[in-house]
Amino acid sequence: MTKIKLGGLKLWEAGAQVVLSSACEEQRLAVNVSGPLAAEKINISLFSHLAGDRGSEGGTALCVTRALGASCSSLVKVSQGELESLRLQTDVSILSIFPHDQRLDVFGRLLTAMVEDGVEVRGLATSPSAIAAVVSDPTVDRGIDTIFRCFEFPSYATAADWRAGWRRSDQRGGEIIASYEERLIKIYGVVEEPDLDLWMLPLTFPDLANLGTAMNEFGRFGLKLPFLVALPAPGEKLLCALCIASIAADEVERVLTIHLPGSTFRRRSPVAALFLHGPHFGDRYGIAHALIQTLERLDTKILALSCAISSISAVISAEDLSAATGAIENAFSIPRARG
Amino acid sequence: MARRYVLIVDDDPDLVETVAMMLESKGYEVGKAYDGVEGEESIKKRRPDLLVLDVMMPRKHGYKLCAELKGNKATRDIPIILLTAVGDAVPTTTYTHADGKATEADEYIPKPVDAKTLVQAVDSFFT
Repeated sequence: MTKIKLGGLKLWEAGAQVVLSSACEEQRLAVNVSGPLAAEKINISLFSHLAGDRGSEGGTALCVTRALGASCSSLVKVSQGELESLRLQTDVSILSIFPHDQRLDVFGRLLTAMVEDGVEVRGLATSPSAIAAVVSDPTVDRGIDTIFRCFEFPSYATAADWRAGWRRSDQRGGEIIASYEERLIKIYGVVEEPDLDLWMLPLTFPDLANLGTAMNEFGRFGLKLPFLVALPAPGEKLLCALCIASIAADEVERVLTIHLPGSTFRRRSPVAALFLHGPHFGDRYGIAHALIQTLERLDTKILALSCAISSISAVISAEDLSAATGAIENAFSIPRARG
Repeated sequence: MARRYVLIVDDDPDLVETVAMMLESKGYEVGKAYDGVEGEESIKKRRPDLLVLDVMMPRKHGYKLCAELKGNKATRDIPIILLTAVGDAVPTTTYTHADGKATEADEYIPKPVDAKTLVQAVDSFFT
């Protein structure tokens, strides 16, 4: 198997994941989830959300340092009858590879190989450049080996090389620490991607490999994958959502039906993705909240959300795109590249 | 005329992609490295016309790499823009201006970076 060339691999260790499952369409994320965490100045390393739709399951998952897991879990407001379950996983880490360049073969190879090697994936999120996989701690090492089995990196020939470099840099990690608290959150730019479909699929762990195979097939059609999230759902399932160009809807449905014959997948169309590049998500508390609050004040429903590395990606209905972009440009500090 | 070659060294892949996109749209050729050691290796393979260098990175800090490059006859002329984690937006940091000044970087830009400012700073070395 020819390895795919990538730029790098990151590991975020000793994390906890708070998971909320809900059948409710209106979760009020700002009030119940992101607001309380922002008020306590808690940095979130990964935040994923998928809205429920017509009675179907939705959910929210966020990763914080392990020491903060229990307090985060208690800060999240659970309304009886609305949110059906709140879980805390205290043994997770995040493996991120980059850049993905929206290449479906990169996603497909990663998912298929992780299932083959028994790497327990408890969540997925994308940034404009990276794929972040939340994995259980006992399978992190295996996950690193899996990544080196599938991908090659210019700086590290083997997983052992990478580990040695990572340990050395870890020792230096304490020397320089910074956090960001600018009054108006600065972002490098907002990129809109319209004309997309949002596909939502509840999958079992083995199904992830079939999704990976389907992705490889999409990739052969020249399609791109700008957005992917997956979060834990009841019944040992993962709730996945991905965006692909609307023009390919028939082909996507055909391929998903072939590779995931037992799955009930849903399509929402047309949707648009918004990418907030580089607001230092992860190094600054309250960024996700700022975006969620901005959109909820507009009555714009966040269909799906992926906050990873240093960026935020949100999926909204296509008809909300213009108003949402305008509101974001007012709520954040953005360099005016146009005009 | 050959395009100017700018090397971006930052462990934040989203920032690297964003800055690369902006510089490429301005006609620059862009190289990417994701930590200090990779940046150093990349410079050995191909000397950049300018280096955009982050401070907090795995394996080798930006200011250490900067000091090494400025202390080496073969590389001291490469203009370096250091992306520093010192500024009004960063109340908590163990990195100081003195650390940055010791590296003799040609330009300092505080994070979070205003991408437009960064592109203007790159332009200023070639006009």
